[in-house]
Amino acid sequence: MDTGKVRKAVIVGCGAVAESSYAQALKQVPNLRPAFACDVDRTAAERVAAMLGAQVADYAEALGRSDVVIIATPPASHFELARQAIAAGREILCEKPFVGTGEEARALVRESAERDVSIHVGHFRRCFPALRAARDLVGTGLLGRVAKLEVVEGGRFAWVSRSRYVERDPHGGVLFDTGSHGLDMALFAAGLDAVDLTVEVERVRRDRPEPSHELEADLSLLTGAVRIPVRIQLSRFRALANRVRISCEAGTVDVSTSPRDRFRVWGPLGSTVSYTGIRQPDFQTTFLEQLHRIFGPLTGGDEFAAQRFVNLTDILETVCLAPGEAL
Amino acid sequence: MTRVAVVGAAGFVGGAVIREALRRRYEVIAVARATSHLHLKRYGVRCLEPAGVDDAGPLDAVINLAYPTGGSNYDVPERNRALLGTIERLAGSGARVIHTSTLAVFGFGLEKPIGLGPVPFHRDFPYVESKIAMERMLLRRFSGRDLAIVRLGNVWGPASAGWTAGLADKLIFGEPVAVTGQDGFSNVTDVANVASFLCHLVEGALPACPHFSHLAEFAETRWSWWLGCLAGVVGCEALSTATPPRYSASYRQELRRILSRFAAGALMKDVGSGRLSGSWWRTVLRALPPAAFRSLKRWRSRRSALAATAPDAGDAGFFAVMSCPTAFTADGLAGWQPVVDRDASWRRAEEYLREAGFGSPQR
Repeated sequence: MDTGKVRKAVIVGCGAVAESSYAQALKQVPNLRPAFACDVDRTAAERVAAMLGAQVADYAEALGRSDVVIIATPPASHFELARQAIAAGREILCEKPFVGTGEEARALVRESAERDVSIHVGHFRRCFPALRAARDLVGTGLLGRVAKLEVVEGGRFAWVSRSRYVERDPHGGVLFDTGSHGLDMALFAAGLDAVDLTVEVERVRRDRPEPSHELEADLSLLTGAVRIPVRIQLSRFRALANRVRISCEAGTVDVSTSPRDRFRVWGPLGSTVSYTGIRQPDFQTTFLEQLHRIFGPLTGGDEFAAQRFVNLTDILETVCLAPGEAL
Repeated sequence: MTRVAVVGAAGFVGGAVIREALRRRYEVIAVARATSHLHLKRYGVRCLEPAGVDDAGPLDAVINLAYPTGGSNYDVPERNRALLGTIERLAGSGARVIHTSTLAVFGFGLEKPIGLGPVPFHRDFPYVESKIAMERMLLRRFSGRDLAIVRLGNVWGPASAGWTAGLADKLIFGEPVAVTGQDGFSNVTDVANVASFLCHLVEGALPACPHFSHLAEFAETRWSWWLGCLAGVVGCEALSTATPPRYSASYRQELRRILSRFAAGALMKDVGSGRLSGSWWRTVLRALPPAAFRSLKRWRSRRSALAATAPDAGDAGFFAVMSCPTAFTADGLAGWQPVVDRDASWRRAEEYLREAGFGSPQR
């Protein structure tokens, strides 16, 4: 919400996402001033601080002097850092993946509500025009009830993670890293991000124990008496279809995992492409829109509220813990 | 045991070359940026970064698949020279150098005369310029040495992000993939054939020094054939456009256009958007009055920020390829025969497309 007051922000975690995305975007958010940069690696903190025109600070010190906390560290540290920020009464934007377990996600949601603190999760693909339009279409009910979800995403992995958590942390594999994006798109478009559901895993195949680099999973989401099958196929090594498919009783929607201005709708007689008329030239534009929705001046910040990512975290945790066959 | 270094090993062709080399029981050293080593580790080969290639030891051949990609177009010549340095250090005094270039050295739409020999330098898209420049640098540096330059057609195959997966994706999301009334020669080569041919060049004597090859075994198959096959799998028809973006390779035209709307911001936008290469940019700078030159030089420090907005080669090049009126006839193949014919190539691609999630919904 735009209150007109300039709020000071601290970014904790000055690695790849801070440099490539936040350093550019934060300066373009009205009424938000990036004031502090924190990292266990002081050189990294200095680099991002210089890009933002901010000061290097220790996290505890920065918490005491900021209004907003941006958590952009590797996922293993999200829970503890968010908890400290809630205790300090600060508004939070936590980079995806949110946290490693559903229990942690619920705890943060509960504690933030108790302290009346806003906590958001950075799933910027929710700003893809095609995804939002597909969600609206599915939400009208014209295609009938959601019957199946598919998430297929793969390509050569070249993300420059300085901490190398993507190779070491069980929550840094392709499931939490890439899969969290695609699964969130599917839940968002299907309207399943904020309903009560339970997860049952049927089969998981992965190339190695988590963090895996290639993974296939079949699972079901149970909401009330309805069972919705979900198929996940992810790879860090080879190109896959890179689409999210929401199959409904009377039609199917395909949405690209890139910020496209269009999506495809399939029906019994064939298919057609539906155009949104909104072009986002690159990921950075989408990323900035996310910040504008969360911090103003755009509306729609509620779509990034942490309680909307508890289901996603439950799914990721359940698949991550499921014993897998070799892929 | 034959020892081979594959430079640019992490790409689509690199994976196929590594698999073929291992099948032939070569010892393979994969050279790629550290960010790609995760991808390469699964082959069980030794991985080196370009800065560490002095540790490679004596080699029988160096296969170069790399070219400057990503980052700022301004730095393309500099990165090309660094790549040449890597190849030189790997080759030492005796290894054969097998360099993969592209049919695009004759223009994306093969507008220039095609010949099995050196190509004169001309101004073009940064990708094309960098490929021509590297060919010329290698010819100078490895004069009298074992050098093979292989100009590849459009490399297609399972998991090709540029063609197989890329075209299927465009079909699904309704993007035009052809120019109305201009069904171009596809000039396709299958990645398995590329890998087989490159390994063929590692073994035995080269027919000439330097030796040139043009590889596009399915050159005469029109794009409409491949697109028809793809449409059958994804369940979406291929769309065409009557008004493709203009593809111009005329330096004079470009210079006139730039100078007619002279402004520092506009010039830098051209560099940032990928239309102009760094070398072209410097040529423009030298043609300007000293005061304007000094003014523009100040913009140079902003090039890294501009790089973030630079797209790929661009749609103009893509449509020139899709409507190419000329077949890139295979030549200089030194007794090699393809291991995959066109039907087998499509079957492999089709299997991949279905397995990788490109199929239409089963209802």
